[in-house]
Amino acid sequence: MDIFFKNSWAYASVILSLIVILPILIIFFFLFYSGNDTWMHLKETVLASYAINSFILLIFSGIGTLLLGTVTAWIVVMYIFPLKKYLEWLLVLPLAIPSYALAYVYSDLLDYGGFLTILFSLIMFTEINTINFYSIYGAIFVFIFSLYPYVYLLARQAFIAQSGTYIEVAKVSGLNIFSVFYKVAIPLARPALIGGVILVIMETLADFGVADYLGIETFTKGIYKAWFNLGDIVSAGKLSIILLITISLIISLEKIMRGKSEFTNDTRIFRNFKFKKLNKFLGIIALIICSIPIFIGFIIPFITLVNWSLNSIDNVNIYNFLNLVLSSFTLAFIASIICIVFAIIIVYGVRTNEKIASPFARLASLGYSIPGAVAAVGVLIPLAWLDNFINGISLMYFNTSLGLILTGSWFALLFAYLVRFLALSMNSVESSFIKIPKSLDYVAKVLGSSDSKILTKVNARIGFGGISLGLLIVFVDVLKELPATMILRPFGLNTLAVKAHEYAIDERLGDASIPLLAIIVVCLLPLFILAKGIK
Amino acid sequence: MKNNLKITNLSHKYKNGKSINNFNLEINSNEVVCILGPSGSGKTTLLRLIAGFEDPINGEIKVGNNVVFGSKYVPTEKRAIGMLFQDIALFPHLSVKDNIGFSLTKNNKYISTIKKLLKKIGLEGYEDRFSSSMSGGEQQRIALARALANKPNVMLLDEPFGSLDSSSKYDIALDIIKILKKSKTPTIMVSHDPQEAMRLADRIIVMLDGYIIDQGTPEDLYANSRHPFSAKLIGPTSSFIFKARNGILYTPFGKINVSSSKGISYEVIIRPEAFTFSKNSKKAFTIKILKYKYLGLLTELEISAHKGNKTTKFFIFSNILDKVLPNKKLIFNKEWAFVFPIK
Repeated sequence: MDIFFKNSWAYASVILSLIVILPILIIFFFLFYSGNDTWMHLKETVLASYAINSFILLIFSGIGTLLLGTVTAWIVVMYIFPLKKYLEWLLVLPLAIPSYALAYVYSDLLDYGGFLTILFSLIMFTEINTINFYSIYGAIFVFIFSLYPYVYLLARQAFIAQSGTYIEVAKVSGLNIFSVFYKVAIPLARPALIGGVILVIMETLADFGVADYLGIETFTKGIYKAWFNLGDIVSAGKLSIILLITISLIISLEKIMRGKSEFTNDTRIFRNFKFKKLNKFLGIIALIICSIPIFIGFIIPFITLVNWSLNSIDNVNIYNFLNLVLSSFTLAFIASIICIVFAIIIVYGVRTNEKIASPFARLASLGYSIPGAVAAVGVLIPLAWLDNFINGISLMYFNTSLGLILTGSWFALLFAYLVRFLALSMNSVESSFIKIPKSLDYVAKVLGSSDSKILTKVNARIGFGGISLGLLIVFVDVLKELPATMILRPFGLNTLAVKAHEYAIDERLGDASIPLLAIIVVCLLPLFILAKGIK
Repeated sequence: MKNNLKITNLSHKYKNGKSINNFNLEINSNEVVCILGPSGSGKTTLLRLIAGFEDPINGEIKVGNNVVFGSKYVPTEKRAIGMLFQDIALFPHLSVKDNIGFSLTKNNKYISTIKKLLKKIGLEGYEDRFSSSMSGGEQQRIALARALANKPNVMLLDEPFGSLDSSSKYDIALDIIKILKKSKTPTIMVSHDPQEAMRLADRIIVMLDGYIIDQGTPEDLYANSRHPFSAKLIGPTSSFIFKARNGILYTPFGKINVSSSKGISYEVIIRPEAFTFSKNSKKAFTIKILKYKYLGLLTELEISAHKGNKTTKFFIFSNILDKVLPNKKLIFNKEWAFVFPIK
């Protein structure tokens, strides 16, 4: 019995992991579920367009972010040029702006009479009435400029970690700087670059806001419509399983590609790059190349949103707005606390007994690759079943219908957030716990501390920074989240993101700008922490 | 309570096939035992089994008068064990005072106990310092005070001196051992460094592939090695392989009698002490020195063997070199030659 209690944290970790894995497993049951009429109809009419559109989006967003993220990372790592030290961290700022906000801004700026339409007319000496942004090209543009920082951050880190020795060997072998870039630096950084692109693809496939606003039929939008417009959980589940399998294939592909080649800094002595100072002309070119994504991805949309909000500030009902902020923040706060508690228990369980807890923890951390809409469907099914069960019992014994207790509740929504965002908090907690030597746990243990005491007195205190960061990251991601919130939110509950999207769909972009700015300001917090690390 | 540690028939198996097999050990208070062996020999695993970080598959561990594994199971935190690690492992977020007092209840004796311990380790006035502002040696002393605060029945040292500067390593190590002996805490240290084991331990246990292959006091192990691995590990040796003929090994230095029948090969491991010099001794044999290499305390001689064109290399102490070179004579003392049949 004592041995069982010795592993109690590991078992707790397994149980919590299973809770999170359950909705994902449920989605897999739809593989074996024969489709109904609605599904057959969807299959015949829109399934192909969902697949084609999603495929085009992920391919072009992937290529675009790969180019933009890699080139900007290479420039800021390799060269010295004006404002480099600011650009290095400014390049991550577009992460603070939700993709859908970028879609609202550019569709307006490129519309009839929009600022950019006028600007292009002046530059090209011809009258341009409108540039159609409501297309798949618009969506690709949005994803490239809002998601390239994922590739940038990982590429930058990979380039910095490369020993200067490799570059020197390449140079004495007669390679010019372009050849060094694509023959040495890129192959060495390949796992990081692929990792960044995979993140971009995940975000693209998970997106609902951009596709919904720009009118593109994608899987995520299909899932939302199947549940919301058609009320058909089977079709939503079937679409979810297709999306899930696609994502699993992408992850497996990345693992296979990574597995075939080992990329380690195998030089005996690590040496930093010797930065090359660019001349004035090339320096300005580098400055322009690195500024473009910051302008398109952050400055232009941010200024536009500020401008819109100033114009529409009089329309704001301060009471309603504060209510919206309060409900959004409360939801995000509770979700982040739940995620961090789960993350701490799961990660600590793995730390106390890796053999028992690790496989389950790995599965639980796959959640982030699962789109919000899929997580919502996964949560919806068991809760709907539970609701029906409770209702059945209530009708049988008390002759009273209780209605939907769980499905339309905060509980359901928080559960979906947990499935989707647990991986983020786990990463954060794990990376801070991993730096704490295991010998500290052993010392505390031989000095008579129980596992709980070791967690609270040692690990949680030393890893407090990581825990706080995990809390903050989940907080901002919940603030931005759209599809799961729209599918599962209780009647009457609005969040800043949902309200902004509703306003945007109604073409009330001015009204949408204020909640969007509130989200962006909060999203900037973790980015400033990240930027501090970069500086 | 009697302070000792008794391990009976302890076995453990890892997934990768490595294991500890039927390990037996008894340590008395005031005794320092060193488990010596190469990486993967099972020495650290043994400490982890005693501490309770891993569970044996069978056997019994008794700390003091209490069985902690076997007929009873006592979790790590209740085993009253002290442990020092190579990475020292002071809690970086706690001051010296709070590190030492980690296992203590904060009552009115808290500060006085910490002060007493600091005095014991010679670091009075360090209460409010943090580990980052101290040297490795100071940190290891604080770690010792922290372990002693828990009044351990047994102390486990997991290569705790490995991270210290070689210049001050033995001073600090000997200080720590002195304190442990004074507190009558039976101590097991693991090490892969024979010098460390010889200097610090009362008894050395040599482990290889999960088995005890030799044990004894440092003097005994040096003079009476019972396994070729421990003979070579514990001090300088020269090693040869000979085939027995009629129960005799014909070495370039003289005959060695063995008890076996014809045809078995033997490994003969010879310490430098085996070679001495005396100009007029009848036991001296003549050598033809081809080369020699001075190595400080030892010198490697290369001589032509008594048969054929073969040469033989072996170590002698350098202090007899100036007599051996002109006289070309050596005396061979068989008691410093260890003979092991090759199975």
